[in-house]
Amino acid sequence: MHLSENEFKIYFAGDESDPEVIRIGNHLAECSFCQDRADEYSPSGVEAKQHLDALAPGISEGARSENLAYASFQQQYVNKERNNMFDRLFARKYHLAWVAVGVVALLAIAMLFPQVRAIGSSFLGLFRVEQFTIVQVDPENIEQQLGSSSNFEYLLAEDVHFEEFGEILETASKEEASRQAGFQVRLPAEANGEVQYVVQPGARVSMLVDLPKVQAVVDELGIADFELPAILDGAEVSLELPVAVAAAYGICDVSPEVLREEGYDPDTPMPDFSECVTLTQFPSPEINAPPGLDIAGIGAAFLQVLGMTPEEAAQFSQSVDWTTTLVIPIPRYGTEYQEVFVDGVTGTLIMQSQRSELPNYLLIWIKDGIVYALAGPGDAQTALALANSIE
Amino acid sequence: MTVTAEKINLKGQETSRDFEQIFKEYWSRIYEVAFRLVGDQDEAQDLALETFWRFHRNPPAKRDNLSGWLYRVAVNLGFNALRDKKRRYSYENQAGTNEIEQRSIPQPEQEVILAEERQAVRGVLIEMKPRSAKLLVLRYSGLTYAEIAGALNINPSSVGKLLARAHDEFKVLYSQIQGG
Repeated sequence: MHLSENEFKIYFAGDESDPEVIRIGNHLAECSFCQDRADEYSPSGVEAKQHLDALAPGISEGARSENLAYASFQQQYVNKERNNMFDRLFARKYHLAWVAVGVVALLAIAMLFPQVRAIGSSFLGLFRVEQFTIVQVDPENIEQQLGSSSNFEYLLAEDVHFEEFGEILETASKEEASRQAGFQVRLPAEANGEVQYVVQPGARVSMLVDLPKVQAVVDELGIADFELPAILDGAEVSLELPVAVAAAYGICDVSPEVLREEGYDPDTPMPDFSECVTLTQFPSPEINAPPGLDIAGIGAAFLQVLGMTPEEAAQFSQSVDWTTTLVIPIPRYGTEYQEVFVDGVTGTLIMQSQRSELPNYLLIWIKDGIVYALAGPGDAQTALALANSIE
Repeated sequence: MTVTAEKINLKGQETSRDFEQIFKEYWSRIYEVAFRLVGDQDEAQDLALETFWRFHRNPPAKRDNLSGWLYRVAVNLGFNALRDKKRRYSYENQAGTNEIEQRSIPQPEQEVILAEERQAVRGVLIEMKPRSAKLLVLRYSGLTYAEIAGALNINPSSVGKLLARAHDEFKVLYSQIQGG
């Protein structure tokens, strides 16, 4: 039995919580005949359809045959895959993303497993990120630095595995996002517009260590005074990342697909977030590590990857408590940062300003074990007003 | 050349024959979604190929919503391309090059009218809320409510209501844009 005209009218005029509207909606979801008729009864359906039909491909504009298309696919993409892989990995705009992965891998290798076999599963150190420190770097230097390693791309492409614990989810409410994430999501009361919630699942970065290859990369990168223990060879190292929730206000394409693809493909334009405010929050990540590890030395290696000289890196590294501090690299030019009082704690405000464009802010802080990152267009006052309205 | 199963390596779940079958099954519909957004055959084909390339290289972990995944990637790529076009068009308009180009290509009246209508409709889509615009593009590309729900991660029983709201939003914006 298909829907009657009257049922369509009830459906389009009724409230979504009305059981009759729900019943009709459920039928409509299953009945393609009724779906085809629905436009006639939707108040603006006929007119909208008429305009949108203009976009349909004309007779001479249709798709080429599947066989031809498949042949093109093989020729254009599959055959070129091997040649392009390294270009793609090291395309300029994605370099920093790979650097992040590399850094995670390096830290994971060094922190987690030197004595694991010796001490079994007993991890004696427990780190929790409690604060941030900013280090300004020149992206050009990083690119040059990493480009000098012929093994680095193999290491990242072949040995590092990224596993997500579930799918990226869009949720309809703050409560649902909190339930999915396992912690209470907070939102800025002063943010305007419709809010979209995305729950990013936890993830695990793992790697089966090929010690000679890793050491070759370390050597090629010119990282001084850094040696990995032989016991690491063949070990699987891993780092677990927590569930995160992003709340987005304004014009933000935060569909799971976009988030999944973001930062992945150098040929695709990034989504336009110029009118989008996002608040991301996640439990402070924890790192297990054995005692007596030269954390400052590992930190210095990390800083050398970011382009510091061994001397600069050693000096900076000694000033940081690496067990509680996450060091965030930001570009040396076009950004400024300062410590600010926000949400009752000390946070870091990073301002980015490109010529002829509105400034953008990134405000980060940690409160009650949760990391918050607020980003959007506007000045420092805008950022702080929003952040201080979080409840 | 045949794509080997090892090469495709769809997380060990599909063979090259499976991939080819999926490609051929969805090819024309993915192309149509892309074409509706960019209005150019070559560009639409590139976007459709790109969609399958992403599937080939980094397929979704779960296979119960394969079509939704493909449509979602295609419509996102299409909107990205449309936004880029809008920016380019704006720059070219500022520079006056677009006007010169348009004057130099004579077209039959019907084609001109269709081209103007398509431009207006795409202009409205780019101004709409992204989800509403995607709903309309996917629906009029021939997707069922269930397919749309799978592509946009929404409840199938809400699609009708959301489409009606999208119709209203489209109508208002179209009138505003056409009214100057």
